[in-house]
Amino acid sequence: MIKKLLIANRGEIAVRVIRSAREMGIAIVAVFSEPDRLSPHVLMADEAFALPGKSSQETYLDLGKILKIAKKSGADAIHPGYGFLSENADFVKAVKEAGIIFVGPAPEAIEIMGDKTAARQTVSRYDVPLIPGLKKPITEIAQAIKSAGQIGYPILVKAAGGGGGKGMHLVREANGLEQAVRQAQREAKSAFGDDRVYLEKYVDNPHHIEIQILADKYGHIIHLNERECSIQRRYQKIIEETPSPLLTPEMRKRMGEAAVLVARSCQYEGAGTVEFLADELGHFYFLEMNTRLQVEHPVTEMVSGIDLVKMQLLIAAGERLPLNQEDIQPRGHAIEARIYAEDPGNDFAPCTGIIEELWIPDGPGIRFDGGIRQKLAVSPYYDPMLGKLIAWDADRKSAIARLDRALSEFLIAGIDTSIPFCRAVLRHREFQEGRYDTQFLEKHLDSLLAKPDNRNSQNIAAIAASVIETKSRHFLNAIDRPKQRNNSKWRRSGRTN
Amino acid sequence: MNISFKAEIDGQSLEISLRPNGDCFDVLLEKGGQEMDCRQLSPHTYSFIIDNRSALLIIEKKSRGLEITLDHQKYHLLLKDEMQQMLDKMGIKSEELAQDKKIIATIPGLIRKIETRPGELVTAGQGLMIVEAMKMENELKSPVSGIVKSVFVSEGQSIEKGDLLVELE
Repeated sequence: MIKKLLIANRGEIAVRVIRSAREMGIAIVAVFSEPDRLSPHVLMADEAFALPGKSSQETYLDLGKILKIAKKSGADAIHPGYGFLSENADFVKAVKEAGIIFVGPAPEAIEIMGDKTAARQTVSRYDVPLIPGLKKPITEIAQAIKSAGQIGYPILVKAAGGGGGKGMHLVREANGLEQAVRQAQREAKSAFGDDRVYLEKYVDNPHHIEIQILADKYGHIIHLNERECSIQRRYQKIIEETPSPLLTPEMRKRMGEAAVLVARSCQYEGAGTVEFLADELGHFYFLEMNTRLQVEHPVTEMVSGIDLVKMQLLIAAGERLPLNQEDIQPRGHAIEARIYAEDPGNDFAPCTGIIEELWIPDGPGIRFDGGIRQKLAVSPYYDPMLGKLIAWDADRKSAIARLDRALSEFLIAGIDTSIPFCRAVLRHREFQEGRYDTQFLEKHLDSLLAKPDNRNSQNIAAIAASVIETKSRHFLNAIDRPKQRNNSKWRRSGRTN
Repeated sequence: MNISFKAEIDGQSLEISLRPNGDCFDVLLEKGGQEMDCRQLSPHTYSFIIDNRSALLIIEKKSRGLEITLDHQKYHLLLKDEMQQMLDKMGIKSEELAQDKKIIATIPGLIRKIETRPGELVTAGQGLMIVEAMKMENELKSPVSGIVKSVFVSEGQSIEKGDLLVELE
């Protein structure tokens, strides 16, 4: 078993990994940038090494610095978390060459699944449905127009080198194709340094459904059912749940089996997620595989009772996966809300500041995976996600009510968060009825952002403000007394600017 | 002695009257009196019990007015005390949103002192002139940064509301 684990990440996922590793008796090495010196993951670790610098480039993305620290600390394994270096094949190769265990798959699997075109080609050899589309990147516009006609509109132009919605364009008619391709090429070049794009059929009323898999080093692969992640804004997930309101048991079984085949096609090892696009007619299509632990993994853990991080560590240490497919018997319903330091009322602009007051919700069936504490300075250098709030209950309706209750208890003073927006989603009639797809947020954005008219709350706010204002003036007057002549009320209230 | 305010919040207007009561206040709204208890938890977080309704609020001063967060909803609030309400009645705004390069008098008065001249680079908030009105002095500050193009008045001159005083480039 691993003795000492270096966590090459920060924030909530670093805290998450620390917890499971510590339960297994593993010593923890943390790395931290200058702004993260007082972050919870540093305070919780056994050893901590500084990464001089502020930006991700200088710190958590710096292969060389992290490897040097791993060797210096004597860590025998590295957990990459998600994002950062978790899907960087060069990093994995360097870690292995240094004789250190990488908690994740082999670099070859990362390379295949990291390239959308290569992934499709590899998977197409197995009985896994693929979205109709070009397997090869576009080289000429004339070829593209012909292929698009064969695939059938609407068509998505996508970047081969990366995701997150960059370089992605929807084309509904042939006369928009050329412009979309050129634009996508420019965006892909700028975001990934790789201007290759390809075409695929666009699915209407699409659901983003992903399957969790676990695979050991001995070829034993199982799946842990699905997560429904269709509540997304600009391809960024906000609410995830399991089970999906869309799937029938039969579709679930077929998708699970397909996911296992995808993992097998690249000889996967570790925890991974296979993403599918599903429509409301029982069809599903392979989208991509994420060769890492995902942000929303807690909902799977809550219904299955399995600790995915512990499984990752066991697998990485060369042990056999102690689970068979029949052992996966999910119970109840789990929903997660991602908490971002953003102001939904200001086009979701990221917020920075110091967390002045923090109340984290609790009670039965509530779990918070976070990387925050009171007095923490939220900096502008990294992803604005503060943590995830997850609720579990016996059925979907109760889980929604529980998550909404927990969000109502969640107090963060000092920065704006997406909490009110998450609550608005949970209270929306169509979400409650389980009738939503990936277009839900865009379709209902205005009503979700609308402020409920609440005269009573307005009264309270106005009264409270008056009291605070009066108290602060009395205080000011008391300390300003000697200068009162120059600091007249006229000045304070009569300025023209 | 009552302290009264007019609160403008989300397009609604509320009259509030506070009467000191020990450490806190009794509050009078349009519909009648309410008891209140107020405790501070941290620099911007307060617990209020108003008429037995318990509320946890975050109250922050912004450049214009206050921002209150209650039950995760944000309210923007402009508070006007008695002095400001009186000025309102006279047609005088306490906060000019001058995006314009033309700076206009918002009060009638007498130019006591001119503090700038054409060609000077001024920063937002810098004093341009001192106007005496209602037996008090008021410093007119530049709303934006810029170079002074012209000054249209001189010391000792009487001005009316609406007179053009300064123009920036």
